[in-house]
Amino acid sequence: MSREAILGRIRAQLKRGPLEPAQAAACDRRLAAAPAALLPRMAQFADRQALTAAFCQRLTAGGAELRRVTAWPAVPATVAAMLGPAGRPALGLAPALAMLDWAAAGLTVVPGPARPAQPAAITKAVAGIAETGSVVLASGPETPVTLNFLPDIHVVCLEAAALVASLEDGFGAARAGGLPRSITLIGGPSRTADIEQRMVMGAHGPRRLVVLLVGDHGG
Amino acid sequence: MTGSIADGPADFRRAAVAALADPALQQALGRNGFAQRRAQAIAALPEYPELRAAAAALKDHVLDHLDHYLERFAAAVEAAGGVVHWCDDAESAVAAVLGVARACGARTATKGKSMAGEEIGLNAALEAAGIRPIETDLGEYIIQLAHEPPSHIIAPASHKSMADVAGLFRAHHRDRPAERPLDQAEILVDEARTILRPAYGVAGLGITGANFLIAESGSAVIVTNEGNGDLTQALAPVHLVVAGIEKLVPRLEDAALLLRLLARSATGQDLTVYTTVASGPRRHADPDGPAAFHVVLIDNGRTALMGDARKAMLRCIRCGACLNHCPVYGQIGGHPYGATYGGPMGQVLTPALAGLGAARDLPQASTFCGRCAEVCPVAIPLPDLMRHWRDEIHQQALDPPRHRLALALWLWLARRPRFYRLAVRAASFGLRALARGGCLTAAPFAGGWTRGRVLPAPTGPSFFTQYRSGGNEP
Amino acid sequence: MAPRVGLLVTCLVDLFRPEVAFAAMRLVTATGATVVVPRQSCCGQPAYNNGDRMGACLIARQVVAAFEGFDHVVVPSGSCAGMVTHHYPRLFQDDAEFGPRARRLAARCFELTQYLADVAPLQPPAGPPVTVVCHESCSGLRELGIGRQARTLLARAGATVVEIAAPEPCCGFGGTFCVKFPELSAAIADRTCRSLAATGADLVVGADLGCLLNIAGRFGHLGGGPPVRHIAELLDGPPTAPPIGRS
Ligand code: SF4
Repeated sequence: MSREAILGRIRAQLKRGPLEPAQAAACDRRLAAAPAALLPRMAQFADRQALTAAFCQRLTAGGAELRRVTAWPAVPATVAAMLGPAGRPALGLAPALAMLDWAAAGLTVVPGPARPAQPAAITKAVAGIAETGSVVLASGPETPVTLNFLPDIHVVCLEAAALVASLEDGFGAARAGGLPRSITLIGGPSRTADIEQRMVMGAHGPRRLVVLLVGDHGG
Repeated sequence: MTGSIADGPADFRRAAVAALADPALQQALGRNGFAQRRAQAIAALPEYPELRAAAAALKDHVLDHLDHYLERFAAAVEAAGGVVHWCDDAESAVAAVLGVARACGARTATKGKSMAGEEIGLNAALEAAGIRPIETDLGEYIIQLAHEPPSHIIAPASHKSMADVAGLFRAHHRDRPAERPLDQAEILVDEARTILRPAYGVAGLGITGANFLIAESGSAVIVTNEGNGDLTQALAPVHLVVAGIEKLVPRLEDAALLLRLLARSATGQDLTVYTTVASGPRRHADPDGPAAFHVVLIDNGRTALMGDARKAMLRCIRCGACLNHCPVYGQIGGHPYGATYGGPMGQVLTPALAGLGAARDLPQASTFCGRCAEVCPVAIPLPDLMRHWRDEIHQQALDPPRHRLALALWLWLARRPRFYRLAVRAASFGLRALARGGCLTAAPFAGGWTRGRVLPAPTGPSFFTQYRSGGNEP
Repeated sequence: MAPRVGLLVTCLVDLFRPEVAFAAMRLVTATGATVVVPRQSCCGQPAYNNGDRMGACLIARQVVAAFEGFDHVVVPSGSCAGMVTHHYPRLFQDDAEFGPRARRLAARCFELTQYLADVAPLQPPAGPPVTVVCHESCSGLRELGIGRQARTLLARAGATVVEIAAPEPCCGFGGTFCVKFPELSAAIADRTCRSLAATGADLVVGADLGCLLNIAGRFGHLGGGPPVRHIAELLDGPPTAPPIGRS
């Protein structure tokens, strides 16, 4: 069988048989817990304020739009204002946000996976990473993945308290309740430079990424 | 002068000469701004040297225990409800993909960019089996229309101009108005977007590569800027990952370390726009995502590198920096290398994948300037590994007989300094006799040199002739 | 006591430009050393870089034996110095006899500008007030980590050093690469030639004759470009020989 053949070739080339139990155990310990991360300075922050500021700066540098919202109830109105006429057709919505009063803001939302012709989708991130200026989206019953990629405008709601410093922290936050089937870090609108190395936005995924940072933790 | 002992290997050289004479290609190569953007990104990351050393050490650790991590990875994929296909070579990998495609009744397959897919010739195999492959990465889509292999591992269509792309779109997108303007990158990107959109929904199979495979969780990580890989894997009923066995890392945190280096080295970004970790098929309560998850693990010559220093080649994270900094690649682009992987990393990898006989020219086509090793984010000593192949080529007598003869002759002389001195003395005399105005435009045994260069003549008798005639005894 | 310095002439200097070796001898002598030129042929790069490890070892042994008795070894070439300091120890990694000998030699071997700038500082005689541009060899730059030394010495000699706009990767010489892939080699040389010429310098200098032959050879083929010389010629006082490839 190919499996044994491949493993056999690896062992033959490394001039050994299967790992000794002690070595195998060491590898399994390595699998069970990561060694201390080598964090660059750009992933370390003096305080929440610096962390939040770095997140906002790096996210917008990546081409995303950012709005600060003081509290969750204010989210629908902010989304409506941001989308303008683009918010008139029915919007995709992550069921995780279904408890907000979208109708009051004049928006029609369809909780569930993305459907064709939805101009925008509103989803909820599990974390934001200050090191890279990305939002972290985890799949689940309340957070369909297709909403992240299909609509032209992707609106992501993110608790300011869910901001973390590093990539490692972002992955950690995403898997805090067990590893989701899919985790996606998003740092801006879709783009390509495949034609003459010219940057063009809106390649296949969303043309706009709008992040609503909810709550005023850390200023 | 023809027939000189220094004539180079035929195929690569012939293709390289053609590339040098191709004005459109030369113009395209002049557009490569990756090196500059990388330099800026690395300059902004003071910890780069430590991260690079840690990344190399991480990959070495994985490679030294690859059998164990592969088994753990496979177990994790299966625990998540996925299927692992272990494939010795390109043929068995293609067979595994076709098996999955047939089983799920796919008529079309969307594809995210996958160099492993290119390596095993997946598109041709799918087509032959009546399954339509649709490349969704814009660069890959362009070269699929052009029926060409990629010319760069991260920018597959970088040899195409905007006009080339417009021509391809006009020829293939027949339902569009013939006279539409296609003179801006934005317009072309938009057209590709609208053409490809429907494909995601109808494809029976979504194929992606993997930038990293995570052993602890059985996950496949992909990075893109377009989001095409995500649409491919999220919308197809079956997600199939094609990846080399060397893509493994123990944990997600280990991928974080490599992610810090990958995009910076590739495009000069801190991180690509999308980074997705996919672990198994859709779960019980999930509203979307693929219903099945397959991983096709490919050896295809990789294990052959693991027995000596060339194992370091398997650290490669396919960032493309070595291509972007290579003076040879910079002159000719990727196609003359005649393989999926061009540039320095291809010069080391291809002999293992395609066989040394077929690829014997590649390790020779380097000035050993060392820039590739210098910029490689996982510190692969690429020139040393090319020299390793050169040793093997010489041992197996795969180098051209006249090269061997010249080398043997030279060695015989070089080991006998007295004879050597006489030979140099004679050569000096001969060259000076043939020189005009301080140089030669043709010389025996120097046909290679004088094609495109004059040969500066010796300024006088050889050093040792003069030194000895001054009464010295070396 | 004056240190005894062995001069590794290098095969290209021996054949094409003996002036460089004579200039190097005078320069090293001016630092107070006694220069000796032992019997030699080549450092072995052609074998080493063409897959003949065994041949390279045979020659390397010869070089080790000929040069190990000196306090220092000086080489007017970055790539040959790199061969001795960098690659000899690797060639003899598992050789109980030659391994230690090669490592000892490597520790005492220096490229010429490195020697004159860092090991035995030299105040060269003031030369003509020329504007020069330095071509850095890849081995010098990446194997030996030098580049600054040539500039220091040129400045001491009163020359004005100008820099190329963007650092060029390579001149395209590459040892036997230049005859195996002549078209590529010439095309790569073109880029280097263009950026060197664009500086408007009066003179191109470098510390590796291989690169300089390639650059001067390409300039000669294209018909133009600034004159090209080995740095030793310039530091040694007014050069007597015509520039490389000219009469
Ligand atoms: S060899 Fe190094 S530089 Fe080249 S693609 Fe691989 S990781 Fe990048």
